[in-house]
Parts: sequence; structure tokens; C-alpha cells
Amino acid sequence: MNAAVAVAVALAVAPACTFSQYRPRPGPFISQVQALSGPQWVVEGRSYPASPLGSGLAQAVAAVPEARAYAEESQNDAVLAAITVPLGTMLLAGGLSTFLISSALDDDPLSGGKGALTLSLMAAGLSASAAGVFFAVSSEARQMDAVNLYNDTMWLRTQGAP
Amino acid sequence: MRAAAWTLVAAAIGSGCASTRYAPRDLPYLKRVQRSNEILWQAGTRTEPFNPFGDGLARMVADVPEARALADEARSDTWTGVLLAIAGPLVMSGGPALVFATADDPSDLSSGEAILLTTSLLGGMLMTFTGLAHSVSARSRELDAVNVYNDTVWERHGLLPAPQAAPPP
Repeated sequence: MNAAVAVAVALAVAPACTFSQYRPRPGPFISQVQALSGPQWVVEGRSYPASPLGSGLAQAVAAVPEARAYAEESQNDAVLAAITVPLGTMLLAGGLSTFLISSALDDDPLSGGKGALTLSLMAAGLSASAAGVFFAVSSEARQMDAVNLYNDTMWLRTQGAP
Repeated sequence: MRAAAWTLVAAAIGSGCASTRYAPRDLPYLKRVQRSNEILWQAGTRTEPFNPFGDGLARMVADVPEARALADEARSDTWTGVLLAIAGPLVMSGGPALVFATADDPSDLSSGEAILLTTSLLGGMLMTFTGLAHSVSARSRELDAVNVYNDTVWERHGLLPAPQAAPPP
């Protein structure tokens, strides 16, 4: 039975061909592909991992300092998002747990010291989550900036512009 | 404390930090850009909305048939992925709910009920995994469409070496 399920899954998934069929051609422009090992940035025939938390993009666009600065900002924002989103979720969960426990023990769970703790945890959780979403969006925007600036610069350079 | 935190977030967003800062040139290769907080595909001065469910990408790359076919595949995979990702959990939860709601004795299921229970759990799981695979595939096809289109543009402008000829059979 297990083998039959495994075969069915393989048959269902295999035709979807989840990886890039395109093979990048060596050239001065940066492109992204979905390789077997995960998403990759490819430039000048060299591949760099495209994890938002890693420095692959910064390495790939290092030939254009301004693009590199954008890529580093993108990485920093992604790291901040990876910290603040789980932190916000934990604080929110803590606030909710405190509220539920207080509700079970008291008639007025939002009064006194426990109420202040509940509200503080929830407010801090919401703020951290909102900040995390902001950092994630900002990271994506800086990534677009890095790629577009790099490719524009390469286009102008290959056309003979300084 | 709450007001201070919200002020900080609002100031950061209001300052435009979360938007792109670089305004790309109107060069003919295909790229993603952000204009007035909307993400768009842009090639030259043409733009289309960036929406994996729509046919904006297919329209952008329409003059390169191979890229267009890949863009169409990406959209189709996106829809399939989302539908299966919704249907899978529904089948996984609906099947057992139906079995236990209608069984005469939920602690002693008949063979038919047991088969329905197993089939819905495994079928739902299979649908969910397949949906996930289609979603990853959609992203891959989207990247392929952009890369194939851009290779054509760069080659047309003499910015890429011609592809190597296939070896003789």
C-alpha cells in the first residue's frame, strides 16, 4: 500500500517538472533559475545560491558597487524579517495564552497587573509582526533594485557607455 | 510603548523604505519593477501587472513563442497548485468528518468506512503535495519564460554570444 502511494505521488509530481528547463547562457546579465539544489542567481556562467538570508546576490552583483549595496540591504532586511516575524508571533501567542489563563482564573482578565502584561505582550507582538512584514517587503524591493540596477549597468557597459 | 512601536513602523513605511528606490531605465529586456506601490512587468516602455494568476507575463513575452508557452504553463500551474492546495486539506478533513458523522459505531468502523477514511486521508495528502509541486513548478516556468525572453532580447542587440551549434549527430 505504501509503495503504491509513493508511486502515485511520484507520478503526480514528476510531470509537474518542478525545476527550470532553461539552461542559462553565459553572459554579463544576472538571471534567476530554479536548480535542483534550490533557486540560484546565475551571472557570467557562475551560480550563487538565491537564499534571501545569504550573500549570494551580493556576490553575484559585486561588479556594480551600488547594486551590491542594495543586495546587502536586502539581506539585512531579510534577516530582520526572519527575527521579528517569529518574535512577534511568539509574543502574540504569549499574550493570548496569558489572556486565556487569566480568563479562566478571573472575572476581569484585563484588569490589574495581569491585564497590563496581556495587553503589553499583544501590542509588542503586533508591532514586531508588522515590522517583520515591512522588513520582508523591503527586502524584496531592495532585491529588485539590485537586479535591475545591475542589468541596466551591464547593458550600458556592453553598449560602450562608461 | 504601543504608540511608540506603531509610530516607528508607520514612519518606516511612510518614508518609502519598503518601496524600490531605483527607477529602471526603459531598456527592452524584461524585468519586475514597482510603480506607485504596484509590482509590474516592464520591457521597454510596455508594462503589465505582475499577477501569477493573470496573463500579464504571457502578453509581455508574446513575441517569443517559446517564452509565451512557458508563461502559459506558469499560469496554468499556479491555478492548479492553488486549487489542489485548497482541495487537499478539504478532502483530508472532510472524509474523516463524513465517516465519523455517519458511522453507526465510530469505534468500530465497517470495512467500507475504513476504506473511505484511508482513501480520503491519502488522497487529500496526495492532492496537497501535488499542489505544492505545481506551485514550485509555476515559479520555475515563470523564471524560464523571463530568461528565454531576455536571452532573445540580449541576442538581438548583440549582447550575448550566439548559442553553440549542436554537435553533429
